Amino acid sequence: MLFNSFSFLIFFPIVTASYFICPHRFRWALLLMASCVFYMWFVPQYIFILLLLIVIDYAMGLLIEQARLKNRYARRYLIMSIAATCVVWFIFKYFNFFSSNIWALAGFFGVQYPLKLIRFLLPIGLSFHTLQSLSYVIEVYRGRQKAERHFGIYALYVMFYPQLVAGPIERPYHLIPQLRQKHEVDYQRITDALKLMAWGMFKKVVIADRLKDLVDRVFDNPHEFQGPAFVIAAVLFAFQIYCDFSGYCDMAIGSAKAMGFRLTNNFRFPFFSRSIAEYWTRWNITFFSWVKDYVYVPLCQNQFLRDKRWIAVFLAFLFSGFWHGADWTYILAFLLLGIYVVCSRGTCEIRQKIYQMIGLDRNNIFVQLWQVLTCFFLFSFFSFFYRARSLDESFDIISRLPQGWGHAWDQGRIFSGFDQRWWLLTVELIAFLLIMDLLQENAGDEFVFAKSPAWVRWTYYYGLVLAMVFWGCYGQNRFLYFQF
Amino acid sequence: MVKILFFLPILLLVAFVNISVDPQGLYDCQKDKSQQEEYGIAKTLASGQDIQIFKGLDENLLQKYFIEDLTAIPDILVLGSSQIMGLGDNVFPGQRIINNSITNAALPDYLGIFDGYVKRGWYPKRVIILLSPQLITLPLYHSKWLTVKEDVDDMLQRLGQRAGPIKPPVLSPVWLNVFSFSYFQESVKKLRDTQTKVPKGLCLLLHDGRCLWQKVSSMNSKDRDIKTPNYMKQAQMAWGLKTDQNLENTLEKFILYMKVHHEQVTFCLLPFHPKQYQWLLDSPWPKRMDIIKIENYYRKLGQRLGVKIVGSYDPALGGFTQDDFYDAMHLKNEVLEKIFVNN
Repeated sequence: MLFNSFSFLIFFPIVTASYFICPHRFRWALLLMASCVFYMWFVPQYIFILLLLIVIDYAMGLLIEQARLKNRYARRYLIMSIAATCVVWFIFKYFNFFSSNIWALAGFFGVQYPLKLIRFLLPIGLSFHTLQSLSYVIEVYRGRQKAERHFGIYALYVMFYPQLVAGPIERPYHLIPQLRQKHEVDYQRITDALKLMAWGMFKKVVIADRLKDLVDRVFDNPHEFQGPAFVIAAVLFAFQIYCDFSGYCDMAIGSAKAMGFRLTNNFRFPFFSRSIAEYWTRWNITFFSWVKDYVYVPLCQNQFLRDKRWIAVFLAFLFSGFWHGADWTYILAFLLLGIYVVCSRGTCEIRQKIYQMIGLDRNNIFVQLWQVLTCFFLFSFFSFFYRARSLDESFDIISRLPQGWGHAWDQGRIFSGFDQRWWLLTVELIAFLLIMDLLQENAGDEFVFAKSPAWVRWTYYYGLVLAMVFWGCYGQNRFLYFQF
Repeated sequence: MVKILFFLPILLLVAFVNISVDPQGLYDCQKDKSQQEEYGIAKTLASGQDIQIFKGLDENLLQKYFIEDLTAIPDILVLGSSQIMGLGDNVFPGQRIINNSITNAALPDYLGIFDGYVKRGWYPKRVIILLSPQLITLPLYHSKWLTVKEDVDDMLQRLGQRAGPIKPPVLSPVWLNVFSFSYFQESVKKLRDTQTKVPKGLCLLLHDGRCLWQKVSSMNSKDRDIKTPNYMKQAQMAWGLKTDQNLENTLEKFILYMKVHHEQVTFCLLPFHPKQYQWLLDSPWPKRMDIIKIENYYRKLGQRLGVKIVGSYDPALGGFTQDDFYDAMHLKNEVLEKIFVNN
């Protein structure tokens, strides 16, 4: 079920109301049932795969805990659990990638054999709930989380519908206790949740889906375009993916908040980052903190890599690339980010010295703006790999970036179907988004207009709803991150 | 919670605009027949004249009135969707052909249209019936046929077939659209278009029922290439996931009924755009549609009932390439003509 669908408009109030009506001891069952319905809306049969993963990791959690107490075999169970979870993940997500690459490599060396591919649709949200399951068994192994004895509560931890298909990726010690808590109806909390959901919906249907048409046109037909069109499309893609994914997260966090659950914030105004390293503490936060805690930190603790952290950075970004998709475009896109981060860290001192030499204050508004813009354009460049349909097309786009600047505004077709009114409105919407983000960043956790007079708040609410009425795209467009 | 009611004016505005502007004519069913645009257009066509249309019409209603106003029984009748709308007396000179195709036609559309002829006691010598996959797949793509529901029910009764999936949806699109934001946007667009400029012609309807889409034919080749991926996505969404036994039975009975009353029935399978056909073959489990299975079913049905079959879904079989298509779904008219001239 999509958050931006008519079915969710019915589903959400029914589930939320039933949650509060239902006696506390049955609430987990109600939520579990609702989560199953939510998941089965896509491909019902895939619930069995999810169930298999849940059973494996539930049992392994218990075994790991017992083994820890006896001080034996815990590591063995952990490896078995990770292996079992990753096998399912590998089969659905990576089998075709490895199979076709090995086949191509064998062909290169003159070994011919028929290519074996499996043709199954990737179970929706597989990568997200796999990481969530893995974090549970790892935390049990580390002793930071008690193994959950209640199967229903554990199943709900993996399947909790607001964050089931595209995050935020929760940690067991954050979510499981909340699943046991009794949440009361709280008017203020529910209205805050609805405001957050409306803002997320606005970002998705008004901005992201609006930009999608132009971005798809350019990236799906790269042979038709040249430099200026690619730059415009890359910049717009950065806003599209931000609005799409953060819009989804706002709706997920909001729908959980309405019932009293606090999910981890997944975005913290990434476009205001002043360095690439900072970017990843603001973008898809729960995923990158997962990578940091379970990939990067353990790698850094390794004897060999202790003094070669840049290798650990690359490996962490390589993992991120693989996680995003079984395609060379993702792998290269994230290796590029690895290069950014290593270069950013490596040149930190030199840049500091340059600032001192020319007497520039790092907190000067122009320096800040320069840093923010540099980060943004570096991120936009990353989309030439991330959004392109193949590696060939990525390199083709990059090689043609310098072309066509002499007649930048005379390229006609990028603008056909997108009239002056479309462009004007798009620029206004993006400006509005940035202003709202800036205000919200300064306001902290509190709603930006919380202390404003009623007329200001209501102008904002009305504006948001009217924007959705007049400019929203309601074609049941999926969220970009569902494909992972 | 009462504050939520403050948003009621917006919803009421949406409902008011949707019902009063009503760009698809969903709420003017009670209008007198003579006031309906479709009635006037049908009269013009039946009198042998061509007509330029500027907006989307209720095609089922148009076909119903068109058949009612025809003055003579056609020799050849074409039932199909937009893919075959270019077929007319250009291909069958000297014969009176009527093309009753409507866009995105599903099985109930065929039944409703055909009932118009049966009610007049007319049985054309030859019926060409386009077998698109959505005839036998669920869910039914649209419910446009509801405006001629009585005719569809009459035909089902004649076939001795229960309605099965051919029934109104639980939530009628008419009522869903009252508060629909996308319908509201369509209404606003209509208001703006009528106030600011004369709309471009949508299509030219010819006296034999052919429809020449002007937006499509005026599109240059590069624009078509750019639009193709979008069409492709739409087309991929358009077909149902699985075949339905009840729809298959209804189709079979419908063909048998035609066979009893007509001299010749011809099945037509039009090729898919090569890219789209490949996409369907490659699509992973659960498949949107098993195109080979559907074609095999139609072929076996044809053999069993002794019906001639023209064409194939597989573009490679007829040597069709991307250049033979206007977009991801529609063959160029000259290519369509060739298929029938050669068969």
